[in-house]
Amino acid sequence: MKIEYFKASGLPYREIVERCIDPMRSKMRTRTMILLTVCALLVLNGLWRYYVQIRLGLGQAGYTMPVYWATYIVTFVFWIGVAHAGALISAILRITGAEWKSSVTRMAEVLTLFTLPAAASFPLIHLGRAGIFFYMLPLPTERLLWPNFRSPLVWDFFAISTYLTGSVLFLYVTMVPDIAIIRPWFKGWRNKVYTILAWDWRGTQEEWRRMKEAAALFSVVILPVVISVHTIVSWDFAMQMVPSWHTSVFGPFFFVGALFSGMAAVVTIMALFKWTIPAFDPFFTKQHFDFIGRVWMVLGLAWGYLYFNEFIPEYYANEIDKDDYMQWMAFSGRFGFTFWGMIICNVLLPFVCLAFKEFRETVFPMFVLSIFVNIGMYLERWNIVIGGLEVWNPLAYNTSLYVPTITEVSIVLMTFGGVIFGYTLFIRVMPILPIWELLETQSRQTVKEFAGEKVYYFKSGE
Amino acid sequence: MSATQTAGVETNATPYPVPIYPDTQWGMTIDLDRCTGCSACVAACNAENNVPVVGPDQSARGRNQQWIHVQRYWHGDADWKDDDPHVRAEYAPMLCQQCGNAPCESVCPVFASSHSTDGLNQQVYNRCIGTRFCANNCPYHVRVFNFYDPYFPEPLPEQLNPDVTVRAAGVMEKCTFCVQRIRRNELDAKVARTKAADGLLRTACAQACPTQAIVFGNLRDPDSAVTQMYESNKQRALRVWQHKNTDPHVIYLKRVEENEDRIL
Repeated sequence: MKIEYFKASGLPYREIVERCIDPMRSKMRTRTMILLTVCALLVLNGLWRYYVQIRLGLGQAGYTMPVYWATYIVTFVFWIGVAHAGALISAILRITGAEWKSSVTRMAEVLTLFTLPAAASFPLIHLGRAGIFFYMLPLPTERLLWPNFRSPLVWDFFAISTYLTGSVLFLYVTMVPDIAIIRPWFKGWRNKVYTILAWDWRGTQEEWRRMKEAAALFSVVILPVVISVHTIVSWDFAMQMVPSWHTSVFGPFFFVGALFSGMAAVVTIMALFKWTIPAFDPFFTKQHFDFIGRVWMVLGLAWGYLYFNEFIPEYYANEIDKDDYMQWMAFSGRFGFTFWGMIICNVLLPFVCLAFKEFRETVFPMFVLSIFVNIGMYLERWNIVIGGLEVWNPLAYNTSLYVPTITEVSIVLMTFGGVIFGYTLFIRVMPILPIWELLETQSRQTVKEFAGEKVYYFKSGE
Repeated sequence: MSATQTAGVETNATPYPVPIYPDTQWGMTIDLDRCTGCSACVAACNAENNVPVVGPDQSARGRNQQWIHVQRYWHGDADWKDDDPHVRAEYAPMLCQQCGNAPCESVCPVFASSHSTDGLNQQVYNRCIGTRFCANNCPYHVRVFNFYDPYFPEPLPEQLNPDVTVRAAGVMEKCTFCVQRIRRNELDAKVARTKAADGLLRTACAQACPTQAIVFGNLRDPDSAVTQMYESNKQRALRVWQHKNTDPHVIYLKRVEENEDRIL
């Protein structure tokens, strides 16, 4: 078997910097403006609907009596899953020392930066009385009344806020040298902002050492945080008595699902970068897609196994409710579409497609597959949340079925619009590719010839 | 001695502390043999507790608010005819079971759902932020949510109960065992310098029940009507979803069946 070596872009250093700041210097194109306008309209529409929901009551959403959690919670879990991309790419690839990580780390972290607030907004949006959400926070009161630390929602709050703080710091720490690098390229207000954000970075040996130590520390510290976030989100469900939720495998199952959908989101953005920003083209080679495709496929297989595994304990425990659930999901007309759609999008398609190197190396099919996987992951959360609640009718009452309303759809689209809007603007004001990491990777790569074959290898950094 | 042992129905052992009720544990027996499914309890509950009217549209969406509802179960063949004597309906009133190990209490992030020392599973409306976590976790599905502000068409405002607060939009609510009557009874006893008597106190549903199927009282008091009712019908006592270890304080008394062919 021929060993494949990762090849850095091989461009001159100055050109790397120029290419990285290209979207920041170029004029905004019409299609970008149209995209931003559409996103802004979506956000405004969602805000208006949310205002109406606050004024009139939660009845504006489609809740019925057994289905007390619905689209908002589904989208919450979905965004949390996408937000796991940043952690996986940055922390895991940094720890394992994968050299190809440089071009994808920051864009994944920035994805976390925008999707995590989008996710965190949903537990607030779905509250009946959002005005007093702070009762959930451990604020000192004159009555010495603390939140209920037995409730998974309180754990949720701690986990998400810790993850948000950690990932913002992680992102910023590795961005300081880049801001210092790009500062001389800009004049006016930008120069002033970058001067403040760069913390007077001069690039001394000591500064590099500290920054790298901090980055290494963060990538280790953030891993347990990341695992805890989605495990705790899964405990929101697993700690309840709803039969299809009440299972101990939910923690790893949700975590692997989150990584799976996070990888899909990264592939989506890589493909979009390759197509819409020509300057980035040399940083996203087919090798990147190949390597990411391999990780993605392993995660997909793990997800498929855990999904299957979820049914085993209930089967052996002879849980009749779970049998009902299974039949309802797979063979009823109501959930048949979402269930089999999920199986096809999340298990069959990734397994069949990603097994082939030719598939992994071509951009367009990978892009299409990434969209399919994220649709499948949304369907999965839909099946779990709404399917689980609808099926659980132990007593002969409360058999109403859930249908989402225009309010819920608008608010879900609002978060999609907000994430795309924020991400598009971020690309134009901050370097979305880590310039110093690209330069460093390039400077460390050496080519030698052994037995008539070119060998690319990396000299160790420090 | 745990609450469970007082009620006389065994549950699984639990590693968690069992609530201890010093001298009062409010409970209820519902005799299914007497229940005719007339729904007088539902009407009485709605009137006593200011339960709002949601209207036909919301009701069709499954959002009807009733703190107590009568469940109907059909018995007989699947392809029954109208005059088939073997087909019959059976009724079971379902209300908050005031669980000792309530699943709703542990999941509420703000302690809106909490436990009182006299065995009530209470809902603090001021504290409730509307996460609806408790309703998801309730196996009996007896918690109802105020999707909109409460609405009382004419002439219903004329009969609102001044002792009971009206719940705002976004708040979870449920059966309270008519806690306003319990507290009033205690206050009256305090004023009269006597001990709160069990016989003076009945919930609205128990009061309205024409066949006296519902009996409410103090399960800790050996002379109370509810304890007597339970003790004399011990063989047919059951509690719903007992294997979930929720320790409900509502005891159902099974229907008396001489044989399956009995015509009702």
